[in-house]
Amino acid sequence: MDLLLRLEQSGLGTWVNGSTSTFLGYPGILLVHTIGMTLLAGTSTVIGLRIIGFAPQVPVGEMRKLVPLIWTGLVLSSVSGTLLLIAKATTMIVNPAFYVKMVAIALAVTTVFGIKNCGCRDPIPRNGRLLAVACIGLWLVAITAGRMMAYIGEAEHFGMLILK
Amino acid sequence: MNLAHLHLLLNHFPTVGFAIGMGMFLVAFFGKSEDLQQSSLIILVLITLMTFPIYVTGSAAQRMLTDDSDVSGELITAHQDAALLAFTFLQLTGFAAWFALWQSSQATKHRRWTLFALLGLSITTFVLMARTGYMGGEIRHPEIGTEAAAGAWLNTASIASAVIEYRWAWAILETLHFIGLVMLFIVVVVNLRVLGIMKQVSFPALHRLLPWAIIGFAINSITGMLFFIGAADQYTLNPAFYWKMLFILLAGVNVLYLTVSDEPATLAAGDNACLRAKVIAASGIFLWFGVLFWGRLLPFLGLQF
Repeated sequence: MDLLLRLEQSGLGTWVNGSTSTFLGYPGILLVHTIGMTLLAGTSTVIGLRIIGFAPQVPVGEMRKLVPLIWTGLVLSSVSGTLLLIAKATTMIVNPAFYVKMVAIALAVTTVFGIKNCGCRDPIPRNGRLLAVACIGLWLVAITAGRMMAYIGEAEHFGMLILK
Repeated sequence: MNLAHLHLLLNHFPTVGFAIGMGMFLVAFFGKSEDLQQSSLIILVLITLMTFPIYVTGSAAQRMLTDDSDVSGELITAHQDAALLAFTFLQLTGFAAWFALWQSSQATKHRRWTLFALLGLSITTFVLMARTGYMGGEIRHPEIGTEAAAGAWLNTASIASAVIEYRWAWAILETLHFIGLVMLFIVVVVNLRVLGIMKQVSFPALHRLLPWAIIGFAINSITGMLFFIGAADQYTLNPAFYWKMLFILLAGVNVLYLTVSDEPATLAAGDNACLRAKVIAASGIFLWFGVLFWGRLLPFLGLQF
């Protein structure tokens, strides 16, 4: 716990928590985190839907060209996520939803590698479809867990502050 | 001018516009005119998009009028419940109209069923909208009618208390709102194709994925409306919220462009889009991120609550 408190009170932690600027502070970091999320999960959804069989006229190999969007999203959300974690270390580390989210993201990123290497091929292999379904499902879990982090455990503050 | 005035100014557009759109659709439906039908569907989608800001300013107008002893709170509540019902049916009509437009670009088989559904939905919506307008008129002119607030089918007050009081309601709605946002990212990808990414994919092939984005939009308009009904003051007093409404309206026009314009529709594999299509696609991406921007920063930008 001492370490977590020290993280929160470190230079970075106090900057994120104390900044009164909208953009160079907590709100701006949350915005970047949300944009990262849409790039990650949104691009995975497009590729996944194609592999599952929607939009069959789209050459499946072309879907690989969207993968850089996923990596951009991963960079944006992990950098912003690390800052948010440092700023709220004492409440986030004890939040069970945080661990669900981390595991789901790790697995989802693994499926993205799988899809890139063997899913985007014509004809689509059977496990390619399985990977696509798993990928979309894991992002859904990650998003749900991420949202729930704001509503369970220590972070719980219901009532007036319902907007988050 | 305040928001109550804005509501009075705007509220005639959807009723009159919808009547025009529906009239054109009926003539086209029975007269079997494809061009007229296309135009009527576009009008219906545009009217649907316009109704978001109108509903929202109505809630702001209500806030201002409740302090006024000359107006009946009961009549306002009745108007509000009627508006919510009409709004719901208008949304269904708008989605059906967009879907019919999308189907005509995809040469699918079941388009006739969509048109039949649209016929029923649009007539129902029109009746509900006329009723809403009539009840709204009664607020300032109680002499025109006597119809008191009967128990409404969609009751705004009980929806609001359910959203606020049920422990997990807000958290679940937020989660769904984020999932809808992710689905809407498909619009960005379709716009990216117009800009030249994945040039080997023909535009119609990729456009086939767009209904998934529209499902995302539907999820977000339902959950968003529930947030709004649950905690209206958080939004009606917040400038970021009005920016978000404006951006949604314009982003909706971008989606309509992708679906109906010939410019991107004729892009075959390897084709480069014309400059105008690229400018519209780029602005569509800007608007989509703008909606996300206003939505995410809404709790931080509006400091009045």
